[in-house]
Amino acid sequence: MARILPTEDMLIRMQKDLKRSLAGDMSEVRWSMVIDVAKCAGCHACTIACVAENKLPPGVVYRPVIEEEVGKYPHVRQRFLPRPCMHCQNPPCTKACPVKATYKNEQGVVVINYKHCIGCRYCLVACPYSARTSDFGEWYTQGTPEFPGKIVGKTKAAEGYETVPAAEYGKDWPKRGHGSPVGNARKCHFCLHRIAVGMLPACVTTCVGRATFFGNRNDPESLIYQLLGSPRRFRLKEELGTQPAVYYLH
Amino acid sequence: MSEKDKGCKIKDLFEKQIDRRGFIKCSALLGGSIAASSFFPSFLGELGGPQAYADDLMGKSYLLHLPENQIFSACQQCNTNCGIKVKIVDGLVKKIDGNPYSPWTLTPQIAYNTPIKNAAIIDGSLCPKGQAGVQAMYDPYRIVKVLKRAGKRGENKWQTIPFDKAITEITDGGNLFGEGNVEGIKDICTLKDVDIAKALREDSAAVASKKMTLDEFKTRHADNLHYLIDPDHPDMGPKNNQLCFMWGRVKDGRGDLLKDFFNKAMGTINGHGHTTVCQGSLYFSGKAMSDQFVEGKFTEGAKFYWQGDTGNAEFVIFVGASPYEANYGPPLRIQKMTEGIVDGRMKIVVIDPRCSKTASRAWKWLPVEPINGVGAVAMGMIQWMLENNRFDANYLKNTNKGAAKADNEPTWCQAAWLVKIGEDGKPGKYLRGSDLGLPVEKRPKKKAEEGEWDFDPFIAFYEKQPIPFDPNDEGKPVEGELFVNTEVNGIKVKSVLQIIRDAANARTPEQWAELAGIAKTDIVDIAKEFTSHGKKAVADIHRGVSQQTAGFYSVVAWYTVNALIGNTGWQGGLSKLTTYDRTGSQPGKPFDLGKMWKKTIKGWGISIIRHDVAYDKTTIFDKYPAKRTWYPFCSDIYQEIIPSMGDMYPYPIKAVFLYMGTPIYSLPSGHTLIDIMSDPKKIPLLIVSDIVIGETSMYADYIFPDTTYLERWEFPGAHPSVTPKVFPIRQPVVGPLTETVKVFGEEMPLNAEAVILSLAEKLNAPGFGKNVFGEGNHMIREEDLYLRMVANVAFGDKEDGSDKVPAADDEEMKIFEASRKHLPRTVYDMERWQKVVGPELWPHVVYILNRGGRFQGYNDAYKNDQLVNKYNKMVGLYFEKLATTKHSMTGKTYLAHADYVSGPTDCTGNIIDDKSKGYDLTLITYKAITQTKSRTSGNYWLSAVYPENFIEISSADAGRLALHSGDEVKVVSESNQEGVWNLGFGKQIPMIGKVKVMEGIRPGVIAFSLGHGHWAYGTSAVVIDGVTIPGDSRRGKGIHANAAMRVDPVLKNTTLSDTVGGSAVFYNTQVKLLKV
Amino acid sequence: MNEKIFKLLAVMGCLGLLVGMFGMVDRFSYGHLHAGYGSYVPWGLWVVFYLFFVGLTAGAFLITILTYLFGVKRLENLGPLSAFTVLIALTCELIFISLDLGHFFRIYRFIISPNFSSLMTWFALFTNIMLIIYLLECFFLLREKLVLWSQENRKGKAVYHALALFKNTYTPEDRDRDRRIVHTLSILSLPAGLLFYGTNGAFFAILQNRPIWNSALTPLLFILSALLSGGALITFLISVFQHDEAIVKFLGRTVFSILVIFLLLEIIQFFIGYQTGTTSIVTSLNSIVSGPQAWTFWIAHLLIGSLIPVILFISSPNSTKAITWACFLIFMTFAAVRYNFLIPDLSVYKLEGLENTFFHHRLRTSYTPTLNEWLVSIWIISFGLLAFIFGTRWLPVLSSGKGETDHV
Ligand SMILES: Nc1nc2c(c(=O)[nH]1)N[C@H]1C(S)=C(S)[C@@H](COP(=O)(O)OP(=O)(O)OC[C@H]3O[C@@H](n4cnc5c(=O)[nH]c(N)nc54)[C@H](O)[C@@H]3O)O[C@H]1N2
Ligand SMILES: Nc1nc2c(c(=O)[nH]1)N[C@H]1C(S)=C(S)[C@@H](COP(=O)(O)OP(=O)(O)OC[C@H]3O[C@@H](n4cnc5c(=O)[nH]c(N)nc54)[C@H](O)[C@@H]3O)O[C@H]1N2
Ligand code: SF4
Ligand code: SF4
Ligand code: SF4
Ligand code: SF4
Ligand code: SF4
Ligand SMILES: [Mo]
Repeated sequence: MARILPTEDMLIRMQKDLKRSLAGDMSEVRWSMVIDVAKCAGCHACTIACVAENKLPPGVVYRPVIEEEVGKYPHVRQRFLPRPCMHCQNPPCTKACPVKATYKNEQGVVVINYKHCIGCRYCLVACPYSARTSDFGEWYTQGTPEFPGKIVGKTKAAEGYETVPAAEYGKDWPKRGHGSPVGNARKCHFCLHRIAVGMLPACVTTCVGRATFFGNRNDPESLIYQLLGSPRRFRLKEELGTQPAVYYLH
Repeated sequence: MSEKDKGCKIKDLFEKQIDRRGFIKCSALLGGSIAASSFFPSFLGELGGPQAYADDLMGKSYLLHLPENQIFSACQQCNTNCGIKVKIVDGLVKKIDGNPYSPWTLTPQIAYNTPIKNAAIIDGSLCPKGQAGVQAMYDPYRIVKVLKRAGKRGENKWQTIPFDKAITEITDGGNLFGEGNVEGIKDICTLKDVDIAKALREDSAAVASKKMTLDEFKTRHADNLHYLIDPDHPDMGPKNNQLCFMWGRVKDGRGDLLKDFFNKAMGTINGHGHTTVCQGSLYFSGKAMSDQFVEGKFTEGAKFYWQGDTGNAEFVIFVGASPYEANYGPPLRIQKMTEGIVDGRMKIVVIDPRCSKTASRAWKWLPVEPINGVGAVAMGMIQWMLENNRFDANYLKNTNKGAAKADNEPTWCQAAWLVKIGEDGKPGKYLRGSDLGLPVEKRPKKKAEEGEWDFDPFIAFYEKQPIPFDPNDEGKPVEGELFVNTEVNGIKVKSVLQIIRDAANARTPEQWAELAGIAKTDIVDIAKEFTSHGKKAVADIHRGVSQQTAGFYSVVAWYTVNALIGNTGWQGGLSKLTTYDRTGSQPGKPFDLGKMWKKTIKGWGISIIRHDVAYDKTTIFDKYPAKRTWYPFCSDIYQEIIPSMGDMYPYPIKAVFLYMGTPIYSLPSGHTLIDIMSDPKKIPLLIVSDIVIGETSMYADYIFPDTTYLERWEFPGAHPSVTPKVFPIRQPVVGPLTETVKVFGEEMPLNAEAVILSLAEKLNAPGFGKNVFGEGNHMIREEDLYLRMVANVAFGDKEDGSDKVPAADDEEMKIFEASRKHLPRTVYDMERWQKVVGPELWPHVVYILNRGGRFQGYNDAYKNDQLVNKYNKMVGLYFEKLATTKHSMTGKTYLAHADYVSGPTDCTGNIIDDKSKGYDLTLITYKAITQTKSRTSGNYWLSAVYPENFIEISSADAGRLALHSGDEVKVVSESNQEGVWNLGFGKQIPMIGKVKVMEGIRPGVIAFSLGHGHWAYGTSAVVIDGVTIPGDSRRGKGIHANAAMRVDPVLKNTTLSDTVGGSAVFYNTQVKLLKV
Repeated sequence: MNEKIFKLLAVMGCLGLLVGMFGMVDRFSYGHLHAGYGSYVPWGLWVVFYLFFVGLTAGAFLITILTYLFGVKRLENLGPLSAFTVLIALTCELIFISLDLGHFFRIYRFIISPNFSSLMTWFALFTNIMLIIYLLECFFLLREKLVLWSQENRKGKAVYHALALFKNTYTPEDRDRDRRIVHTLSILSLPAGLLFYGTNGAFFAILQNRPIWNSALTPLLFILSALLSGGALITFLISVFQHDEAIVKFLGRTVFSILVIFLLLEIIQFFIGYQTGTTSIVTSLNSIVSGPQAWTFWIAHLLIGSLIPVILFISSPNSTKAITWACFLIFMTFAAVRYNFLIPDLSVYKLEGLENTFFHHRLRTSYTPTLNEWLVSIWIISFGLLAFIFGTRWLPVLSSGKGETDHV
C-alpha cells in the first residue's frame, strides 16, 4: 500500500495556526516554543539564522545550540540542545531591571525596550539560562583590510551585513555605533517583527530538523497545543520556578 | 538614499502592508494599540506601565516580507544548491531564507501556482552555511579587478591590469612576464577548418585501430600535419588540445557556456571537471551499471548515481554518507529523516568509522574499519541474503524489459544472464546465441541511414534449458534461473548471480565481519532488517564508499545489495534526479541552442588524463605498465590533470584555464601540485577564475575576479534523492561588486561569462557574436544564452506546449520589475531581457524567474508505489566491457562485477603497507555542517560556531599516546614525513592541529573536518600594486591535513586513486601523530 | 597631616588623574569595547570598586552606631571628618557605577519608570538618601566655620560665603539648631544606613541562580564588610588627622572584633559551600582559592588584609602606630574581598556546554580586568583622593566644631 504522502509541511501548518491567532483576541494569545531534542540535528542553522535575521554582532547570540557527546565507545551519541530565551512566565530578569526596560508583554513574550535600557546588565546576572548577552559594540569586519579598487574591503563588507542594524521590534535603529542597541542587553524576542506580519520566527522556519515549533499555546487547534500534551515534554531548570514558555521534548 | 525619503517609502509600503493583513490584528499583536500611541506624544507612553511601552516598543520598519524586496534563486554555499529567497533592501542583501517553491526546503513544498505575494511571507529552511551566504558575497577579501602576477608564480605579488589588456595578452601571448615568450590561445588553437578537422579525425582513428598505416596518414595529410600535437601519434589530436579547461564546481548554463567555448569553439577535448575528488567512483559505477545493450554493444551509460528516496524509505543504511552534516544535503534530507525517525516511519543504520551527527540518530552505528570495511559489509550482506533466501527472486529472474513489465517492475537486471567462464575460472564474455549455434539476426539501426547491426541473443537458463533473449524486448518476457553453474555445448557457464554468490562465499561470515571490523551479528541484523521492508529499504552510499582505492567495487557491491531487493524506481527505494530540458534539442522547443555550434570543428584525441580510451588501443601503447594510469571507464579525473601536465604525458599542455576549483587545497596530497603549477615550463600559461586569492589561484598568472552566486546566473540541476522533476534557477539578485567591462560593445560585470565572451570576441570564435540565433538574435551577453534556456524550461517538455508554465499576471509582472529596480543595467534591463525570448514567452519566463525555477509537485512525483521520474532501464550487474579491457598498469583485464577488493593499493594494484612502518593511525576526513571547502572561511558568523577544527581521536588511542584534548600534534605520513605544506619560496605550513579526544570514533582512526587550516584565502598577506594587504588570522585557524594523504608510490606526484572508477582516495592513509 | 605627605599624595593624585585620563578618553570614545567583562561575567573591576566604596562609606555609620546605640560619647567629635569621607566615597561610587552603565544618560529612567521589584531601584534610592543625609550633615557641621571663614579675609572667602549659603552671622541659636539637625540626621542615618548596606547585600542575595550569593548570610556579610572596611578607613583617618590615641585604640579594638567575626563568617561560608558539593558552588569556591586570581584571596585578603592586621592587633594592642597600619592594610586590601565576592559566582557556566558552542571572548567565564578598566579606576580613585586631601585642607572639616550636644 502506498504510504500516504505528507500534504503540507509542518511550517505551513504552524503559519496557519499563527494567522488564526493573530486574527483572534490577542489578549488570549500566549506564544510558546517547543523544541524536540530528538529531531534536532545539531546543525546550528537556527543559531546563524537568528544572527543573520537580527544582525547580531560578535559576542551577542540569542540561540546557541549546545552539543555534548554521551556514552562510551561504541555506544555513543551526540546530543544537541538549542537554547533560545525561555520567555519565562515568571522571569527573574524583568524583576531585576531597575527601569522596566525589559518586561513580559501581553502575549508572554519577554522583551527589551532598547530605548529605555540603561545597560546595567543586572538582567544578565539574573537570568538562570544565560539567555541574555550584552552588545559591546563589536564588529565582525573589525580588523579586515580596506584597499578599495583592489579588494571589496572592510567598509563595503560591513555595509553588506553590519552597518545597518536589523529591524528588531520592527524598528529602524541608528547605524551601528551610533546608539542602541549598542550598550544594551539583548536577547531572543521570538522575532516579534516577523510575527507582526504573519511570519514564524526565523529559527523556526530555518530548522532543517523541524525540531522547533512555535505557536499560541492557548489555541487548542494549534500544533503546539497538541505537542504540549506529549509525555516527552520537559523544561529547563524547572526547579527555579521560572516557568519557561519554551518547552522541550526528549 | 536619505533616511527621509526612506521614511516615507516605509510609510506607504506599510499602508499597503496593513491593508493586506489587517490593521487591527497587527496593532493588537503589539500588546496595545499602535493607533493610540501614534496620537499621543511618546513621553506619555513612557509614563504608563508595560502596556504603554508595548505601544512604543514595536515599529513598522520590517520590510523583508514584501515580495518587491525578494528575489528567488539558488544557494551555492555548498553543492546542494538549495532554493533560496533573497531579501533585499536598498540594493543590499539583507537576509537569505529558503525558497518555499523548492522541494529542497519544504516537504512538500508549496504549490507551484501559489501567487508570489503569498509565498513572500513563507520561508523554507536552510542550513547554517546558506544562512551565512551574505558573508561570502560581502567578503572583504574578494577581488574586484583582473590580477596579473608581478612576481614569480606563487610569490603572491600582483598588479591590477585592465580587463582588455589581460584578454589580449592571453589570446596573443608574447613575453608576458619577462620570462620569455608565452604562446597565446590564438597560436594554440590553430585548427579551425571543419573539413580538415574531419579528415584528420577520421584517419587518425583509422591509424589507432591499425586500419591505416602512419606513413599512409602522413602522406595523405602532409600539409596539415602542423595542426597536430605529434604527427607520429595523430590520435593525440590537434594542438588545440594543448589548451586545457579545468573546473572545480560548475553547473548548467554557465557550464554549457564554458565547456562549449573550449570544447566546441576552441576545439580542445581537454575539459575536465572535479568529479573524482568528489564522489567519482559513485558516478562511474553508475555509468557502468546504466550501460544499455544498444545495437550490438553496451553503451549509453550515464554518468550518474542513485540515492535513497529519503522521504518514503522505511529502512536506510547510510554508508559513508552523512546527510545531517554534508551530503545533498541538510535542508533537502534532514527533515524527511528526523520526522521519519521520530514519528516512527523510518529506521536508519549508519556505517561510518566516526559517530557522525547522522549516526547519533541511528538505530545502529557501525564503526567500520575504514580501508576495507565497507566492501566487506556489503559482501557479508550479499552472502547472508543469498544463503538465507532473503532476496526478490521475481525481480532478479527477469532478464529483459518484457519480463519486468509483466511484473510491473520499472527495471530489470542481469542476475540470470549466463556468462562464459574461462579455463582460469575467470568469468569473461556473456554466453551468446552464436555460441549455441543460433542464428545472428540483422536489424536496422535507429538511424536507418547508418545501416544494420547484428543481433546475437543473450542466453539464460530456464527449466534446465538455455533460452535466448533480447534484453530490450518488451513483447517477449524471458525469465531465467538465478543460480546456474554448468556447461553448455562444452562451454563452462555461470549465471551472473552465481558469480556474485561465489564472490560472496569466498569468505565465511566471520571473515567478512573480521575484515569489516564489526560484529557478525550486526551484519546479520541489518541484512535481516534490510530484507523486511519490501521495496522500501535502501542502502544510500556516498564518499565514504567511493573515495577508496577499491571505490568502484565497493560501490557496485552496495548497489548490488540494493538490486537484490529490486528497489530501483520504487517509492522508498533508489531514486534518480530528473530535470527539465534547457537545451531545446527536442522538437517543438522554442530555442534549439545546438544551433550555436553549427560552424565549429569536432575535436578529437587522447585527453591529458587519458580517459574513455584503452591504452592498448592507441598508438602510444608500448609496454605495461604505462607511464601513468589510463582511465577507460571514467572521466573528470581531477587528481590526474595537473600531475599529467607535470609528466607531460601523453603530451605537454600550453595553457590552463581553471574555473572555480582549488585542487591544491581540495585534493588528497594536493601539495604535489604546487611544484608543477609554480613551474612555467610545465604549464606556460595559467589562468584562474576565482573570487578570492585562494590556495590554488595564488599560483596563477592571471586571476579573473568572478561574481558570486548571489550576483550571477547558473542552473544547478538536482540530486538523486530529489524525486520531483525540477529546474532550479540561480539568477543575479544584487548588483555585482566586480568592475564593469565592455565586450561586444556591451557593458557587463567582470565575471566568468565576460571572460569567455571577450575571448570569443578577440578570437572571433564561432558560436558567438551577432545573429548567431538568426537575424537579430545575438550571443553577445550572458542572458542571450541563459534566458533562452529559461524559456525552454518554461515551455516544458511536451512538443505541443501543453507542459508550459502559466504566464505571470500583471501583479507578478509588477513585482518582478519592482524587485529588480536596484539591479544595474549591466546585469538587468527589462526591455533587453524581454527581447531575448520575445513577447509571447516573456510572461512565462517571468513566472519561473519569480519562483526561482520550475518544480514539479512533491506528490506528483509518486504514483502507485513507484517514482514517477524513475530510472526504468536495465540495471547492470556484470560489465562485459571491463572483462574484456586490459588495465594499463597490469595488462590484466578488469574485474567485472561486485566483489571485495582489499586496499589500499597503488596504481599497479600492489598493496601499500605503511602500518608496518609504524604509521599506526588511519586518517579520515569529513564535512562539518558549518563549513565548506573555501567560501566559508570568510563567513565570520560560522567561525563563531566552529572557529577551528581538530584532530579527532578515540580515548583509547589518546590514552595509548598520552594525548589530551588541546594538545598540539603534527600529522606525518610515509609520503609526507615532515608533515608540512611546502608552498615554495621557503614558505612551509606545518600540519599541526589541536587534539580532540572523543568516544565517537573508531580506535585506530583519526579524523579532521574539511574547511579549516587555510593559509591563503585571506589568511596571509598578499601584495597588490606594491601595497601589502594583511591577512586575517581568523580565516586560517585549525588544520587541513590533505597533504598527509598518501602519494601514489609509483606515480609520485598524485594521490592514490581508484584506477577503475577514478576516485581520489581520502581514507586510506596511515599516519603518525607527533606531539609538538 | 604634615606638608610632605600632603604634597606626596597631591602629586600621586595628579599623576593618577593624568594617567587615568587615557582610560577615561577611551571609555567615552569607545564605550565598553575595551573592557574585559562580557555577557557571562557581566560585571568587572568597576563594580568591584563600586562595592569597595560602598563599604568605605560605612565608617561614619559605625561611628554613629557607636555613639548613639552604644553611647560612646567621645566619638561624637568625629562628625565632620567621617561625614566628609562618606561624601567622597559616595561620589566615587557613583562615578564608578555610571561609567559601568551602557547608557548612562538614561538614568533619568529611574525617575520615569522605576521598577520597585528591582533591588537595584531600591539601592539607587537608598544611595541617594545617604547622599542627602550626609550632604546636609556636612553642611550643618561645617556651617559655623564656613560663615566664620567667609567673614575673615582669607583666600576664597567668597567661596566659603557661597558654601555657607551667604549667611553672614552665626548666632548661638544657629549653633543649637544645627546641632539638633545634625543629631536628627545621625539618628536617621541609622535605619537609612542599615537599609543601604542591607539592600546592597540583598541585591545579590535574591538571585536564585547564583548559589553563593543566594543566601541569607549575604546581607549580613555586606553590613559587616561595610563596617569592617569603613571602620578601618575611619580609624586610619582619625589617627592620621586627629591623633586622638584613645579613640584610635577604641576603634582599633572594634575593628579587630569585626574582622574576627567577618573571618569566622567567611570560614562558615566556605565550609557550607564545600559541604553542599553543588558543582556550581564548588567551582566558584575553587576559583577563589585556586583560580587565576587566587593571589587576591591568599595574599591580598588573607595575608596582608587579615593575618598581618590580626598579628598587629594582638602583638601591640596599645600602639596607635600598629593599629593605624592594621586598619590601613584592612581597608586597602578590601577591594580583593569585593573581587572575590563578585567574580567567582559569575565564573560558572549556567548551562553545561555553553563554553564550546558559540565562541567569543565575551562569552567566557574567565575574567581579567583590562588595562583600560584599571586606568579608569585609577582616575576615579585619584579624583577621590584629591577631593579628600584638598577638602580636608581647604574646608573646615578638621577644625570644625565636632557637633557634640551637651547632655543628650
Ligand atoms: N579534507 C577534505 N578534502 C576534501 C573533501 C573532504 O571531505 N575532506 N571534500 C572533497 C569534495 S567532496 C569536493 S567536491 C572537493 C571540492 O574541491 P574543488 O572542486 O576544488 O572546489 P572548492 O573547494 O569548492 O573550491 C572552490 C574554489 O572556487 C572559488 N569560488 C567560490 N565561489 C566562486 C564563484 O562564484 N566563482 C568562481 N569563479 N570561483 C568561486 C573558491 O574561492 C575556491 O577557490 O573538495 C574535496 N576535498
Ligand atoms: N557542510 C557541507 N556539506 C556539503 C559539502 C560541504 O563542503 N560542506 N559539500 C557537498 C559535496 S561537494 C559533497 S560531495 C557531499 C559529500 O557528502 P558525504 O559523502 O555524505 O559527506 P563526507 O563528509 O564527505 O563523507 C561522508 C562520511 O564518510 C565518512 N567516512 C570517512 N572515511 C570513511 C570510510 O573509510 N568508510 C566509511 N564507511 N565512511 C567513511 C565520514 O566520516 C563522513 O561522515 O557533501 C555536500 N554537502
Ligand atoms: S530565560 Fe532569562 S532572559 Fe529569558 S525570560 Fe527567562 S530569565 Fe529572562
Ligand atoms: S541591562 Fe537594560 S534591560 Fe537589563 S536590567 Fe539593565 S536596564 Fe534593564
Ligand atoms: S525566535 Fe527569533 S530571536 Fe528568538 S532565537 Fe529564534 S530567531 Fe532568534
Ligand atoms: S536548526 Fe533545528 S535542527 Fe538545526 S540545530 Fe537548530 S534546532 Fe537543531
Ligand atoms: S545545504 Fe546549506 S549551503 Fe548547501 S546549498 Fe543548501 S543551504 Fe546552501
Ligand atoms: Mo563533492
